[in-house]
Amino acid sequence: MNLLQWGPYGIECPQAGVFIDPWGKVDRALLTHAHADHARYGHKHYMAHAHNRAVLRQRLGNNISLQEIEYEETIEINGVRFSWHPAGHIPGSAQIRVAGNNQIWVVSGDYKTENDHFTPAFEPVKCSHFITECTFGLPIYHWKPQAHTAQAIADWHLSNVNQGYSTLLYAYSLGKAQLLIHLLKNLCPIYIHPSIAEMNRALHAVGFGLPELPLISAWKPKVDAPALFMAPPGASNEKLLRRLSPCKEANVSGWALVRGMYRRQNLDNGFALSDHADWPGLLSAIKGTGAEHIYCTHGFTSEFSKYLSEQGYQSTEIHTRFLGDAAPEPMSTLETDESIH
Amino acid sequence: MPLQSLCPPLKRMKAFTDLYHRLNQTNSSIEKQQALEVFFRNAPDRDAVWGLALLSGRVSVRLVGSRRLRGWVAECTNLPEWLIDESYQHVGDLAETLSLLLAPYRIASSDNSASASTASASTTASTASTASASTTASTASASTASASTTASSQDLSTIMLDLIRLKKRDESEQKEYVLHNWRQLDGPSCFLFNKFITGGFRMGVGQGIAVKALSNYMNRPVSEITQALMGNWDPADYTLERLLNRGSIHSHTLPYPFFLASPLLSSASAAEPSDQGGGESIQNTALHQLGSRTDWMAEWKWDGIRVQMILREGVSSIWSRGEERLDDAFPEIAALAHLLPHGTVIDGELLCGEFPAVRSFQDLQKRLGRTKPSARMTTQQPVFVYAYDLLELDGQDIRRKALSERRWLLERLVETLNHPLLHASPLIEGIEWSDLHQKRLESRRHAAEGIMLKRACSVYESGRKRGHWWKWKLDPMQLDAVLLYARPGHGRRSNLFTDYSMAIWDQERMRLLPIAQVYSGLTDTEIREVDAWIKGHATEKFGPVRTVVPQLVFEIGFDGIQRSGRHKAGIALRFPRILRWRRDKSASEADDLGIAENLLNDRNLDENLLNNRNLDENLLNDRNLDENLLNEPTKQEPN
Repeated sequence: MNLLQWGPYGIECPQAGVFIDPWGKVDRALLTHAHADHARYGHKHYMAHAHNRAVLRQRLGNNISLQEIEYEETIEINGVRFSWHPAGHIPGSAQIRVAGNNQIWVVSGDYKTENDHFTPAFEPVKCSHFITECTFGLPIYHWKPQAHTAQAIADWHLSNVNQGYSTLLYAYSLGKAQLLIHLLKNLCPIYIHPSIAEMNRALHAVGFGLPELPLISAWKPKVDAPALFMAPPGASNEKLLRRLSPCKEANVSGWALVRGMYRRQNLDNGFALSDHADWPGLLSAIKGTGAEHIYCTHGFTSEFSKYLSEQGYQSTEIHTRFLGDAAPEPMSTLETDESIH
Repeated sequence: MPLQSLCPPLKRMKAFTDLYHRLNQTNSSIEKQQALEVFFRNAPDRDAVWGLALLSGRVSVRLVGSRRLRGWVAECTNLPEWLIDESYQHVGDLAETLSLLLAPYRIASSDNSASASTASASTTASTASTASASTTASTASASTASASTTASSQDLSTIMLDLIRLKKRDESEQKEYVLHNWRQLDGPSCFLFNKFITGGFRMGVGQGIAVKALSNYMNRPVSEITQALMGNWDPADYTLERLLNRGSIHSHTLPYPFFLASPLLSSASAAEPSDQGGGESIQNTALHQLGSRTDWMAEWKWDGIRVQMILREGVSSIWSRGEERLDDAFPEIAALAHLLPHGTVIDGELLCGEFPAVRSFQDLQKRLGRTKPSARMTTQQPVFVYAYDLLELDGQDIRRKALSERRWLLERLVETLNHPLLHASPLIEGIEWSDLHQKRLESRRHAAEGIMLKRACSVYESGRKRGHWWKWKLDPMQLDAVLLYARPGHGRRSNLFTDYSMAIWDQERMRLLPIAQVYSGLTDTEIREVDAWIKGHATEKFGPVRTVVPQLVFEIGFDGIQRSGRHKAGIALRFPRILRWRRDKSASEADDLGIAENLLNDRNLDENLLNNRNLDENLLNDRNLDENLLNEPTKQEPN
């Protein structure tokens, strides 16, 4: 019998009686990271990497029951051994390794293979069964090196300023925003949205070094020089942002690689910077695990799984709740991350 | 880097690529104009001419079919073709899909180091990609070396000339050239190159803005430049200077820029806030705001092809508003133009029918796109011209005279000529505005789309200038239909479900019959809402097409309805579009075939009365219906 299975609550380990990133309400939820489509409200008991402490308490409530785990630490439950390993996605993100019954499984959660020198870098974990995300599991998705994209953003901002415009970047407040701050902090001054400041504080509390940045509300129209602003996509209609004009807007997301994605939002530009793996990243990660059995979830599951099968893997698609491509909608009001469709 | 001065051509194509992307990044006319001026200033002269030709849609260098291109990309990237197709479904634009897929194949060139050695480049380009990709890369580099073209192929004008030359060459030569460019050009330029070779190149800017930019840059009047750019010209033959002097050289065959009317909202549709206007903002200009009826001339808005008939220096030419020559497609009209007095330009409407019976636009379309119509065709689809206006008389440009005077001159000319295929478009009489209201409702019976209102004292302007000429169209016919299938749109709308198949009930109200394919006329917010709804209510998946729970009702509008053997419901709609989302209606309250048949019968009754002719027989092989009307998803069988 397979050590991990999936049902109405998502991925489940029946022998240990635990669920990984479940939906619904369960007794014991093991979390890969704190994005809202993985860390849901209402479970009795949570286990997650210690870096998630402040964010989880802020999002799910101060009184949740949370057991903090360190990377490489092993927890045994009813003969099944669980350990957390860096996934490089956002601060606190982990792959969860599950061993027992002579099987080794790894649940990737969301991951990114490029080292951003901010989040602990992705480490391949040997296993025979690998459950992988495939948010960007189409061969059109090739990221440029992040430093390259950061420079392109800085150049664009400079040309905006030269024409008398400010720049407003839309970035998810947990993960993407901090990555951008990390990449841009030495290139130009930045003003941030309060929800980003909130996440910065939560990450600062667990030891992530982030500069103290002024809030958008501190910038005075017609008085202050054009500046660079950062806000989550869900905030695009807020009054706070309307006072920033004249202003050029761009979203910062892996989806921005496709022109239609930012053009239809009436944005001026888009920058493909993601905290997920691109196509070659996914393939190299899978190869690195040495796994024969691959299970595809989150994203282009049917396409990616079919391709892997043709490459000689035993590949299966994990069906999630909705039929359909689940095309991405980065400007949705849900404040989560790129993998929410 | 002393080497950089040796490869300026790379920068040249880059000027055009930069222009394209700057135009795409702004909606502001002023910024677009500035971007164009920068381009005209920076680009080499020949590239400027090619740029002009490309943005006005004059050049199409479709080199290879998309099937073959996908095969080449599969070869270069070692990807299966089905995955390339899936990627295309996701991106919604073939040229863009291919350039994204080719990322690991191209030599890293963002730093202008395209002349760097192939070996080092292929390692940087494919760090993360599989070993197989780099083997294909090295085979291709061999062909790169053998290609005679050097870095100068990066020049826009050279690329365009190469592509035109290659059209006639064999496949292997085409392939070598395309693969060479795929490796050499950086991502944004590769995207444009793919747009060229797939024939899908379009520029996000109107010619009007380009003309203004050119006028600023060259310091010449707008009218002169507009005139010079009219009609057919081959960019290969011109420098910018010569092109702009062309106005005087070829002027005897060139039309004047057409004066276009602006839409006048009827009181009914103006009161409808959800009504989607076109791109331009339309104020509610009601009839009574136009002043006295006697200041205005009214005529039918005919549903044909707007043309200028020209005879100058013994040479006749017929031009459509889309600036195409129609002489070959309509030899009888060309013959008529030859009979005009020397130095004459008439503005009018080319219509199908035998005067005074006007037939539908669909009938006229059968005559389009054929260079030499058969005798049978000219008998079955006869044409004539209703003249609206006289722009040139005795070689004199009379566009600045008042319309009333031009019209008087026109009527005299038409009378003198006394030709069966040329008539002055009749004026609609009536003293009061209220008479016109009544007349407008009769438009369909006259095979007209509505009424044109022109100020009697107006001069003939160029382009769309508001205030003097109005088109007052008939409200569209309507049906309430149910959303049945959806597929993602393209370009700006890729990956959003925006193309809908709408259905109405059959006579028994048992089954839903697809009746029209519509592209969403909804607001962005509504599109997003419907898109999310579709994703949660899909019941079947055929490639990109989703079958959805029949639940959402939309009011669709259309300008014509005809019987059609090739559509399941047996009818085809002309120019269907969504008028509004009927959130108040459930699927069971949608219209049925009986109601559609009533519309059809009303229409045919009118036409038969006028034309005394049965139209049905001609409808089955109507090619253009397929384009504009009802495209059903290929796979479907709802139960």
